[in-house]
Amino acid sequence: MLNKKLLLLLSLTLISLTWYGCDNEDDVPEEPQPGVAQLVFNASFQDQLLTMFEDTYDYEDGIDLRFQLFNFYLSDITLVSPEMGDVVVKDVDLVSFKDIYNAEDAAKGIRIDLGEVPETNYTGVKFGIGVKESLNATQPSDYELGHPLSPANYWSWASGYVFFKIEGNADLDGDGVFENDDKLTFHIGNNEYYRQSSFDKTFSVQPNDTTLINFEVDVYDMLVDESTGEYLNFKEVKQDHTTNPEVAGFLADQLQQAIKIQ
Amino acid sequence: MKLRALILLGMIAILGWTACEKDNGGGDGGCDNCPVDELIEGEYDPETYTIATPSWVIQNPQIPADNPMTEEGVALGRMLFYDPILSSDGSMSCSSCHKLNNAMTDINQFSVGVQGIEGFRNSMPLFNLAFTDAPFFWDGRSVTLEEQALIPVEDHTELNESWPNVIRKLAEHPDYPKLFREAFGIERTSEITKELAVKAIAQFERSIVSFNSRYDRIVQLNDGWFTEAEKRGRDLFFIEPNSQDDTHPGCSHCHSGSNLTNNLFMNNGLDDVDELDQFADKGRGAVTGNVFDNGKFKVPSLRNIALTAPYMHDGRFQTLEEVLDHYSAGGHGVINEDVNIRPFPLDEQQKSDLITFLEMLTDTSFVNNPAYASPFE
Repeated sequence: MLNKKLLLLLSLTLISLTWYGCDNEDDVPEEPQPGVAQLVFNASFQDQLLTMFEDTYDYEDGIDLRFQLFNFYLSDITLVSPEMGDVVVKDVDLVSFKDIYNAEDAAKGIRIDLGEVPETNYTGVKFGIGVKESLNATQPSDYELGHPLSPANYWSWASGYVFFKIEGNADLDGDGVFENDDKLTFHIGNNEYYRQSSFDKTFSVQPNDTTLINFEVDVYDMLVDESTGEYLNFKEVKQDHTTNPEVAGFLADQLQQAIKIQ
Repeated sequence: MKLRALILLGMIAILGWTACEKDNGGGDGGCDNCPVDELIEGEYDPETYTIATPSWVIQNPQIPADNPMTEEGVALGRMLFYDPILSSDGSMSCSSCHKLNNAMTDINQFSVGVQGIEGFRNSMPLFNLAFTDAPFFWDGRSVTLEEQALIPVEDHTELNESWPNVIRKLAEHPDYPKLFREAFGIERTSEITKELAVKAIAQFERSIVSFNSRYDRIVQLNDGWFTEAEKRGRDLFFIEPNSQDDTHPGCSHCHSGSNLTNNLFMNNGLDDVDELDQFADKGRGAVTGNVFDNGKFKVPSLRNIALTAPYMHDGRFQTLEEVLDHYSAGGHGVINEDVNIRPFPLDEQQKSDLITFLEMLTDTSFVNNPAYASPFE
């Protein structure tokens, strides 16, 4: 008895759904969705995509490198509009490549979601590299856990955030063996190492569309100043936590140079 | 349109008819194992519980919106935590492997459950759990404390009970129904669920706070002075190795922040393997499926570390001296070994100084706090 009732119910439901599904007399035009934008960062090491752990990269002086972590903060992400002037769309975010393990993910890059932004034409992008001074004076308890300014990148002893980190392993003599004591850690913070960059790029943000603004970061360019030939020599320096101004300043300047808009 | 409305009305009527018809397939309507279902008498007027957080702590307590803390919820959770009613033979409770005297850990390398079976990891400390959004267990397999609390009850190497049995025992208990009502406002014993039980346990666990060590009192409250050995140990612990001097241990690199942990999962160089899939215990990798997470385990807080021996996820080291010897040796160079695991010199004096500093992190007010102790004693 129950089966018959269910059969009848199903039949009626199907007929009804089909009937209503085909009826478009009450359709309302869809509201246009606001335009959104994302910054996309792809990291490389010269002509190789940057991945963590396994891939090996040729460096200066016969040194080979592997990486375990590369990240950096962006502050005051700003879109430049001829009509509206500078539009600050995000105060801070973290670009982290720590979970990039293979070429496929490396090619996808890291997306920084800017959310809804004013729909207009733009001629450029600006941001600070690091945590701007006003935010660097805050601490993780000022934010919910999960916020980019999290405890993981906070130095309580320095009362500030690590602006960028690069960690990895070095094979100093290029013999294929990454010795246990040739591990690399560079964590740079402090307001004096905050850098500001601006990029020219024409693009527009339209309703119902996601605008991607692509950047390339070449870690080789972060470690080597090709204009002078100067480079971070891992045979001499394997770690720094912003204790050596020469190293910290060099890396901050080079990171600024290494980020290029596509 | 009228025709459509009539058809829809007809469908609603059929739905109502089928829904209301008595199901003839279930016997006579009674059952032997049905849980009791009785009205619970008593008030429901919960009082908000506030975690006492010192102003200098750089993380805020994280309380899930669906499990706000109340005095009544914490009290119920404390009862459940210490009550062997959660085990199959009534012999063990959560506290059997998380002893307050040992900063809520077990002095045994592996805890032994009600069936006499050993687990395979060391019992984790339970304090300051409200101050993290990292997942729980050494491998982070539970995203929330509530999820974590579900597991030991049914683990055959732990309490070896089933949740339906636990719920039946709680519903039939002379006191628990009233306590559940006071904590969660339920009206009938049939409303006692495992979800509510673990919410209460999680509330109690979040209430356990330890920020009152000798180190805290000196640094944060200007109460007292470091001894010379403590100062030397503090400097060894906190000063980062750098480009001018890379001989420092750099402990604070991972054991940082107010809770002396970065709450991350790391390979700290314990095991030497040629390939990442050769770790006997894959740890975090077994949860994420990511081979680069193999051999990684949660970085624990170093607060109360002098009370939590044995050490590491598998309790392989009995003493802090052994732990320091391990770190000084610098790991094995496994590909996902953290870059901060590297050899550093550590003579006997330095080792002694570091341990003197680590002993400063013991919070005796925490382990003697009656609010965290068994309510049955």
